[in-house]
Amino acid sequence: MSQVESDAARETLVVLRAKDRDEEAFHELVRRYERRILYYSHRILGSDFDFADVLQEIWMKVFLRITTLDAPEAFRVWLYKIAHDVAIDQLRKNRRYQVGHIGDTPTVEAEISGGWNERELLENAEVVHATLDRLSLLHREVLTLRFLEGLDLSEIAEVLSCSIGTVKSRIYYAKSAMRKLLEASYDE
Amino acid sequence: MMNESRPHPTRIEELLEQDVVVSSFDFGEFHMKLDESIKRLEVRARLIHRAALVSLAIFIICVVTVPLVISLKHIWVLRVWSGCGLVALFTAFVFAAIDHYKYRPVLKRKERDSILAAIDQLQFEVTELKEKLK
Repeated sequence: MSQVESDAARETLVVLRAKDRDEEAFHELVRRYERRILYYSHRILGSDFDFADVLQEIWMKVFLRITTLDAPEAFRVWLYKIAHDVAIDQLRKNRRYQVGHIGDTPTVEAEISGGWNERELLENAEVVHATLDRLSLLHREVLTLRFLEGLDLSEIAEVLSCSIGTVKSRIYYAKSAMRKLLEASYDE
Repeated sequence: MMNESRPHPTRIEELLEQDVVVSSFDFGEFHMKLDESIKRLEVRARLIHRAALVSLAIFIICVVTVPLVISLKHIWVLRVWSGCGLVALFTAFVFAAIDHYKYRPVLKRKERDSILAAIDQLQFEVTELKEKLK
């Protein structure tokens, strides 16, 4: 069994214990995901929010609903879906929710044939954060889920409640938008 | 094209560490507040559970004592009594529904904890008895 598989199996066991209201298991899940969920919420919401309240709401929903989770192995996707819903609710409450028009920039397609190494990019964290903040909500959310949280296309589709085709399209345009921003920042 | 394999976890951790919000967030305080919220939720769950039981008890008392109220031969007493019984029945249904759909999973932890505590207590008593027998 590989390291990844053994981690996944261990996590499934922790989720099963948490489902059975094992306090220690629930706190283990909180510790395991709190930083990533905070990062994800920050990417969606921007900086002008009380993240303690946002995180609290997400984990309270997890606590209340975990007994209804049918597939413990899908906990990660389920958790991100809750985080997504809470973050979008917060945006709606603040009336700042603006859905970007994905796919309305046909000229971008020809521009993204150049190489872009994500591993190299991750080495420059400041540039990644600054560039992500300048993308539209849908673009930065899909990039965060795909390349920073490591979710696959079907998992992202489930989190965002859309089709895999839509996810592919969003990633495509998000990458091109990010590349343009990166090139602009390097030119400066 | 962009490399679409999953990024290395260490690299991601570094990236998270360098995020302004993540690095400045007080996780200790967050854990404390989360614990407090869960405890408050459990208290509320117990209250709703008790409220459902009390409402049901009031309804049963109202039904059982109907012959006594009839024997008083005051129609208004019977009406008030019936009203009380119906209100109690209605609130019992409402509280039971809230308890079942929202708070029952929360109380499950308490049940589990009390079972574990009982098992611990039994184990302790068995050990004590064994020592006494020796």
